[in-house]
Amino acid sequence: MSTLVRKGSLFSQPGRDGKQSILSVNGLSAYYGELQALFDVSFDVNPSEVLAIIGANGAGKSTLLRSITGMMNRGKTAHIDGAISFGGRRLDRLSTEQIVDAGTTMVPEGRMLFPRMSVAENLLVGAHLPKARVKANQKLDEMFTFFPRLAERRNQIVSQMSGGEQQMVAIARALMSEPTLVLFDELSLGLAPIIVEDIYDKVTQINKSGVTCVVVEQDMHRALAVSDHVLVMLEGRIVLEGAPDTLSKDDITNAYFGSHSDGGTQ
Amino acid sequence: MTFEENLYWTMIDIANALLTGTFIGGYYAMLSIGLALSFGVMKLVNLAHGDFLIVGAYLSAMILTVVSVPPVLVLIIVVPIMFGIGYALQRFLLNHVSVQAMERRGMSANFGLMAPILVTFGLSISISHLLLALFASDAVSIKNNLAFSAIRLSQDLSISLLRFLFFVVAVALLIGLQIFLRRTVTGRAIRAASDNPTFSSLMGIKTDHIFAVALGISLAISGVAGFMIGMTRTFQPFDGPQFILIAFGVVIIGGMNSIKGSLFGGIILGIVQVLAGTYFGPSAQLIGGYMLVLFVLSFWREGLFSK
Amino acid sequence: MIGNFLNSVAERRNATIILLLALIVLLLFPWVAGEGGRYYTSLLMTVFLFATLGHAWNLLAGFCGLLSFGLQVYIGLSGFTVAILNYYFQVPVWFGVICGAGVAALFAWLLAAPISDQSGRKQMFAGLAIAIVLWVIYEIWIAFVPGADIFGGAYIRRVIILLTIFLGMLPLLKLQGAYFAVATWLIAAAVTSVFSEWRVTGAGGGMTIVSDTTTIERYYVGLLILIASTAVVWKLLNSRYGDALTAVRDDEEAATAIGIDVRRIKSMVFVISAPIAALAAGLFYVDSVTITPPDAFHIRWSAYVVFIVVAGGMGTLSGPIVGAIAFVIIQRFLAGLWGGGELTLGLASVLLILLLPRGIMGLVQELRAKAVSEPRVARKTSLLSSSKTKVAISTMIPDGPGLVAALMVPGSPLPTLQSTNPTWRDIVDAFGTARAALEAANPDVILVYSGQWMAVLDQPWQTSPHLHGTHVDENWHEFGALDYDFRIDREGALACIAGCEGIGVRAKPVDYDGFPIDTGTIVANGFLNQGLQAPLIIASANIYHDYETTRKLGEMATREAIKLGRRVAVIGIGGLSGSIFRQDIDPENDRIKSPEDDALNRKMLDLMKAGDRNGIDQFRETFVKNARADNNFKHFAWLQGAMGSEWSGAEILGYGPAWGAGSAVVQFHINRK
Repeated sequence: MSTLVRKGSLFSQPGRDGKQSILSVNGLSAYYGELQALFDVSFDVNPSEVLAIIGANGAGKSTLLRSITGMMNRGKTAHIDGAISFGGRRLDRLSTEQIVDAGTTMVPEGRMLFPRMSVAENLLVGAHLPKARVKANQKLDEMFTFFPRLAERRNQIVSQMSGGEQQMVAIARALMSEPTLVLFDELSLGLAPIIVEDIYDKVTQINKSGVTCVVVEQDMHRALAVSDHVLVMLEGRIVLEGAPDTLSKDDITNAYFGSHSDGGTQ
Repeated sequence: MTFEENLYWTMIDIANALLTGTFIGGYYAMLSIGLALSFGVMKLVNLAHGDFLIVGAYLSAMILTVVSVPPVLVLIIVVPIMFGIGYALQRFLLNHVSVQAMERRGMSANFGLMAPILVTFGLSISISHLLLALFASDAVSIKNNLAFSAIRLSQDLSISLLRFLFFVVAVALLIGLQIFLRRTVTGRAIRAASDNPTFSSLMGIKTDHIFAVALGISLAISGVAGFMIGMTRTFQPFDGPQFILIAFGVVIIGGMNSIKGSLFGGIILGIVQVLAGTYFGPSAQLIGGYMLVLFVLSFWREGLFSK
Repeated sequence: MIGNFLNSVAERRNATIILLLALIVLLLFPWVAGEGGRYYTSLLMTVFLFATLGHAWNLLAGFCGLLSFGLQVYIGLSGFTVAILNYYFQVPVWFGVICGAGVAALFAWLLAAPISDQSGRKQMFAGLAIAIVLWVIYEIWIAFVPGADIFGGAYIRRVIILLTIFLGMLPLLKLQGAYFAVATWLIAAAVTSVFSEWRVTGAGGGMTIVSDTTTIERYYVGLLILIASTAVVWKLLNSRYGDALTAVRDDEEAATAIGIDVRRIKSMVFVISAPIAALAAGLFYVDSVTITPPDAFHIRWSAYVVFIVVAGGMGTLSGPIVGAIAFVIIQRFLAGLWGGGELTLGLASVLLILLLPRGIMGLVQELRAKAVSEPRVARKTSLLSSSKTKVAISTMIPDGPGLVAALMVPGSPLPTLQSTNPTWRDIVDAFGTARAALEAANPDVILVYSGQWMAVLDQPWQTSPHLHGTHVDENWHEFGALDYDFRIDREGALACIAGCEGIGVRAKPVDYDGFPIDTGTIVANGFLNQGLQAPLIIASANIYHDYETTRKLGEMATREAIKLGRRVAVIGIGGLSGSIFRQDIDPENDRIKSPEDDALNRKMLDLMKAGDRNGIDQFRETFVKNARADNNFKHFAWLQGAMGSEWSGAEILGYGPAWGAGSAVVQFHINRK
């Protein structure tokens, strides 16, 4: 069964399948100056699930994640409309650091590490929030157990590491703030298939430990394999959503490339 | 004079230039660390830097006219005041005219780059005239009994005690600053925010606050440097530009991004100035320094000591 | 439409009438004001003078993004030229003012000169050598003929000559932002200290300018200078440089991307602005009679112009005039009220940037725009092509079918594996610029030739309308899974296949699901075409084809695509020198494998940059042989064929190593006949 997306209402409280959602996006539109990048996007994320967002380049996936993490509240040039609530709290008016403090964080596309710092320093910066700071050293040890490869390289400058290792640092750094929801943006970008495999193993483990994950991915097959629920985006709209096993491959492909005639929000 | 005597005096001249230049380098480093710090962290070219040095000098001198304590103790008051001025300035003014802020307001990229420079230039003009209005244009200095003390190394070779102390302070401060930036939470946050302000906020770092702390530190150091100016010479409200040119010279030689570089930059500038002064007369000091900086700009735009 | 047009005509006519009226009023003013109004006549002259200074600074900062704090250099040089000519040679002051402008222009040329040369350092050292030889000859001459020393003293002579040499070497206009600002200030300070020492100029005590000019005379000279400088700026904005200037003002990077020679424009404007400032300064010192170095070279002058231009509106024609009026009001009247004129100016500059960054004229425009336009409807366009770039470019690239862009890019995605690695950085950045340029050209189809799609038999062309899948590079599996998703211009490809017959090449269509795609095509498309999603025509690289055949293929494919009414972009994918490291290297130490390769690459790039078509043809075989050029450099043959004679030089957007091999991103300047 595949469902076209419903029209969002600002006040819909209950999440998908009757569960209480952890993140709820309602009627979200995003603009870069005069250009509109998201059109009335609505969806829910259930606690402890992996939600995958797929779509071609330019479909608005990254803009969506940037909106959730408060990076689109940038005044005249970039701004958003609509409501984003996280555990009952409105995120759309908070600044990025307040959103992170509330428990949502992101592993950004391109990793965005602090290039001149070592692995350990990058992770410690990840624990900047006062609540994380107090147990930073304990978290650091946890991360080094979780990513043994990073333990070997704890004092290496990150810009000298391979793409896969850098991606691990980025994930570990995000986890240092003890988030309840992590948004992963294009984890597989520029990585060898075997390393992507490793990285997604870790995502599954992170999810098993109780962290809700939203995965944005261009690689459709990868996304379908790891997720409990899938959204397909096209030109700034959600055109298809459902559990991976209920969606047919053709439907997804059509939605992904926008080749079906009536794909829209209505 | 015999040949030996000639040789002796030539050697003394050179040794003197190297020694004096090196120790002046410590003082020059102090004048420039704040500038290098604000550029390294916020990419802010603080054209009012020289005027803040003078503000530090006036603050020290004014406090000493009210209370009579050993001069160095005024720093206990001057440093926090300067930190506060720096913090407030960044928080309430400069954060709102930064490149990012200007872009957010839809200004062109070019204007975004110019705005902070123009604002600090306006501040520079305002501060010097404010000082003029408050203290008139009389030359002021901090009275102390160290100004003319010297450490004698040999019969014909000596260094100023104050310059020696300044050098020690500069080295200690640079080491302290490095430790602060590497080992403390705030220090790491400053480095993260300077690397990537957008994504450091994703770590929960309040970049507005962190930048304000960085300018606070920059001005606190300038307060100490201003005190040093007052200890060694007289100053007037309009002396700011003269000092900012020295500070710029130092950071250009040492590398705009390198805080450590300011010590090396200071030493090189110091030595070249003293040498020029020794061989071509006192007026050559200034112009020799300018030419050195222009020369470095021609060939090593990133400075001699930055990676 | 018609209403709008009539409105704008009416508006223009109104504006002309207002301007004429203002001019008549200004021309008659001194007569009407008479003796009693001399103060106001003089005040208006001050406005003219500062508006002219504002124009000079606005040209640099407002249009070229060159933030100068060294305007006082021209003021001092000009003032002292008038004074010296007047005192030592009794030259009439107005003639002296013109000479002052000449001196300032020469000085600006000295500062701008090093960047106008093409080959950089080599010429710099040559110039240095010549200068030193001339200097030595002059010193020897003086030893025999002491009267030849026009500097009046050995020390000051040497300082002046040495400083001149240093300034000549300094590539001032290559300095960016803050470096430029600080360098201009340092130059001004250095020149000041020379003048303060110089006996000829009164050694710090200054000089007096004796003349019998009247207030009315000075008023008219001021008016003339202002009208002339306004006309120069207006003319510049409405010349063929106008669009380029506006583009540079808004976004230098984008301007470079669309093929504007930013450096040339900057040096031109830099040299033009100097005499403008100098004329105003000359008038100022004729008016104020005495001139001293500390006053003439004071940083205060920069503070004045910053306020004038920021208050009026940076990068606008009328900004400096409006700003100068505001300046004189504040300086003369507010200063009189509480004695803090300059403090007010400083604070006002700060507040203006904070609250009114577009200045008074910006505010006026905004209010007008609000009154006229309806709310705009959000357009749905590719997010990735910034609208800013589009505006700048629309004037540069012709509409309609034809060749609109040509790029050479490396086929290796190596740099992106570690995009922060300094040795690869250049190429990564260059891809971004190339992408903006391609998006700006807005092609309907992209003709792709990649040396990595190797064919042995015939000349295959992709004709499957939708190619998608995942590719893993055979040699560099570190690249990971490369997803691709292309649309093919099937009609165009079929036309090319038909066209092959005409040039004696056997061609065939390839239309198989899952037919292998090469890394180079995926990389180029991934980097350059993500936002545009323009369809492709992909030609294979038959390894037995010689250079000439490939050139013909490029020419034919372009011709066929244009015949179909397409706007065509052509991409040749491949590198320069082909030798790579056989062992593992640390990417941070990556370099072109040998200096010989590097030299060959650079020579080839220089030829491309200069658009030297004959030179390229002569050098090509040497290059291919000695540099072991990637795919025998046939990707360039493809481009050469496509461009024919419709190109004039190129922009080297990036050049760097890729595991020892040479790679470059090159954007060719197309000029259609």
